[in-house]
Amino acid sequence: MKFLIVDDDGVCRALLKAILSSRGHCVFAYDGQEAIDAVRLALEDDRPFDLICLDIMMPRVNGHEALKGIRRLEREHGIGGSDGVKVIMTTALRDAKHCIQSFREGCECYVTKPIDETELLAKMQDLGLLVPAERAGLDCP
Amino acid sequence: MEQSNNPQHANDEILRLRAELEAAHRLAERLREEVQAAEQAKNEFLANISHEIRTPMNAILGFCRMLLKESLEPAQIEKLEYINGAAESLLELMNNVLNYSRLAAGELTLLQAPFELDAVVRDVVATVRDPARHKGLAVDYLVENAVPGRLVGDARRLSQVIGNLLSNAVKFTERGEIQVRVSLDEQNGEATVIRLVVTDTGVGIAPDRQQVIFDAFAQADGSSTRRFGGLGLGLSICKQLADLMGGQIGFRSRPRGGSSFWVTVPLQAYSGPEAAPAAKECRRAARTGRFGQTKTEPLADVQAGARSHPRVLVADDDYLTRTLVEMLLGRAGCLIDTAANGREALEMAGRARYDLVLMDLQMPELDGLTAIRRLRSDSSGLNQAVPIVAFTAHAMPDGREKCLAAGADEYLAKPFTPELLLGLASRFLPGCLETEYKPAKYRRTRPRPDPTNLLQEHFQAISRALDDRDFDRLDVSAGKLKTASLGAGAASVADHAMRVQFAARSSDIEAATHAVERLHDLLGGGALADTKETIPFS
Repeated sequence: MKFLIVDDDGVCRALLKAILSSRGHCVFAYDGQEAIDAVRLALEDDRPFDLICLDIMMPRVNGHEALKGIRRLEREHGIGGSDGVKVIMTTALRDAKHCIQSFREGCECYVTKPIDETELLAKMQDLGLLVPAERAGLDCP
Repeated sequence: MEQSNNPQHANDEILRLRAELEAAHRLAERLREEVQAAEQAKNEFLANISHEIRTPMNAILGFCRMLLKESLEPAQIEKLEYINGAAESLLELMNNVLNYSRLAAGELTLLQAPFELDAVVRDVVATVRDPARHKGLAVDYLVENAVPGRLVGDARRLSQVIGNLLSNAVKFTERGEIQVRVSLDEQNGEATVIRLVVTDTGVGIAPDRQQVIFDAFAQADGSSTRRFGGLGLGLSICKQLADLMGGQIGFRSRPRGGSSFWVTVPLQAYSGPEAAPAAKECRRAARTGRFGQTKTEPLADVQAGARSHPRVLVADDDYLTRTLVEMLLGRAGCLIDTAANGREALEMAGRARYDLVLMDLQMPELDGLTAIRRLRSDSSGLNQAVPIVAFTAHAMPDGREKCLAAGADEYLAKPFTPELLLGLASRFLPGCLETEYKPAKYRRTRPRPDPTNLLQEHFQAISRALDDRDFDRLDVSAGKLKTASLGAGAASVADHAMRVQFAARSSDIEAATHAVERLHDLLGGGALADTKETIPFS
């Protein structure tokens, strides 16, 4: 598994890393532009990401713009529909407007901060991103 | 319309209007009271909630620090440090909200106690050293000798003002330097007015924001592109504290050209028992170095007979040039005043006597040559005979002659090196300058670096960081190479620099080594010309 963690806040990145690092390789981007660059380089190297955790409020390029940029890159590489990278928005913005906008832009899930490990893992399970053993563990705690 | 001429009718109308007016007046009064009550309730609510939040914060921070002292696994310590850091920044936020609401409710009173200004400034500068170092920023401070060592006032509120200005400067500056300068504005017996200036080389303030910069929450711009974080309370608090202390606050700024915030604060000079000898020891200029090394060095020792601090007027419409000259000559012990055009320069020259004037030729409103001619022709002026050095970015063939004919004493073409400027200044201010030149300190402001050399320099830094297995430095160095190569139009170098960054952040030594090797292929041995991209030479 290859994860891209996008957040301008170091503590949020560390928290997501603590949850995800045992489940795959984590790459870190500090703003939306870096996220787009990371996805572009991964596509060029033919080693795409499986999951992106994407913050919204970030400097330079925000999460909405980043998400649109990422989906555009995938279309340019002939990747569409369910073949694309799974995107979970991880944001402090709790209002419906940002949530609906994110789904229109092509995210798969929307979770709000503070990030809850169980909730995030459940979403990953829904997206088929957990290996079966772990899935069993999650089902019967 | 039919007009009524009946006097009785008119009288009734007047009475009716008066009653209506009175009712409207009562309504306005009631609404005003309601608004006041609501405002009061809001401030009390903010003050209460801040207090309520501080209580559990106390437990979080207290136990966190306690745990940090126990013997723990490194991974556990790292997690605790995250909690500790987050709790501290939350506390700072709450303190700002609390202060703001107390200030707005008029609940804050000032303390009058003796303190040492030098120590206050030093302590505040120390609090931003870490965040500044993370961004590769230098933080310098200088308390001028004329400032009394011991003063009486509210040191805590004063350090809060400096702290807010400084943390803003760090927040809004990506490259360069932050300077704190404390000078004496006015002294009349014990009444002393201190001027504090915090200058950065950061993003500056857009003209449309300049009007609202001291309003509370001015930073919140409603968009979801997060710019710099924070509530935007810092400057509003500074303004209110400055008002409370009877001082003034203001700034000069240009978008992308840095900002310079100043505060004047009236204080009392301390007239009680003599301060401990240690205080004298503190009364020196100290600066914190680029990577947190603290050097303490005395201010320029001046020759007997010479004026202690030469006053220099710098007139240039370019903020960066002014800042550069200010830093170079400021370090050499000069007191610098700056003007952004010829008109401002003449105004300042009308108010104070200068030992040297540096005048740019191309300036808006009033150009340099005209300003020089007016200075020289004003026989009643304070500065008719002052040495004047003219400088300009355009090396004109007859520039020197033109300048000399207008009345300048010397001519300096931009870009100039620090040596040239200091050499010229010491010619006109003999024996007044600390001319010992430290090239390493000014490397960042050296004009026009060769882009290829710059890329090579960044690459060397990357290699060293990789050799040292220092992933933080590797990330920062690769980020610099990325920015520089994008600026030079070398997109594939930038891509590999980014690969290095991503590998560094994941502590992935294998991927990092691979990407650095690819960079070496692209940049190494001056083979740039062989790649598909050519880097334009300026």
